[in-house]
Amino acid sequence: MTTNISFLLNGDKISYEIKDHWTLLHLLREEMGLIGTKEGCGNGECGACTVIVDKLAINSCLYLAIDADGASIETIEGLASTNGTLHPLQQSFVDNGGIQCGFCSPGMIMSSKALLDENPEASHDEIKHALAGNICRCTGYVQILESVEVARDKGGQNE
Amino acid sequence: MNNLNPDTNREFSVVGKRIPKLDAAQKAMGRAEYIQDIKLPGMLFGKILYSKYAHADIVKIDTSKARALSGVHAVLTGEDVPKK
Repeated sequence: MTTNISFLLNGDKISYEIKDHWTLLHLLREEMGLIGTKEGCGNGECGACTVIVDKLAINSCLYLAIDADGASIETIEGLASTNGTLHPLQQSFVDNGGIQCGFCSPGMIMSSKALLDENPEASHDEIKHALAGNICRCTGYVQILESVEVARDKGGQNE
Repeated sequence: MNNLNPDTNREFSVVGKRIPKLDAAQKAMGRAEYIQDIKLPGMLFGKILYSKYAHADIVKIDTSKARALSGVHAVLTGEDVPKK
């Protein structure tokens, strides 16, 4: 079975013929070639595939593409501006050692973005809670939390 | 913190400094290419079948049904590994 769905992807209107069993992760990575969203475990344990659907951070490996019909989706590809300027969260991860092998980074950054969009003054504990579903196998958690806190303190600005 | 080379009394160029990771920005943007992102023409996909039982002896493995499936190029077991 195939279905035609329409959604907003990083602000662009998209219409796509999907198979009903595809996950949103499959649609993004394998069909649309958006490799920034990672498949770590494929069963909702690691958070590497985190994207934002209607302002909520979700595991795209557990989310059926068909459910994205009519939704607004944000992925890591939509964060930096087209001229290459990094989003403040991305810049903070780069500046504060929040990136090691980089495989968890897009998921970490998307979870952080969903939190700070909702609560720009999130506390250390709230950040920890928001990132509880994202695993970093390099174990760079201290720098990751610091990266989010620095971005929060700069209030969404790069300088 | 003193960041001087004790021999030359000059500042170190790397030691004690924050050196930006060369590929950090690419990784932060999701543009870095990982092994899973590479697709080659004619590429085959592998899958490992694990035992359902911990520390069991393998008596025999019947791979005939798996081999008969269309699109299956090979089914490898311990029999395919050279023995001493």
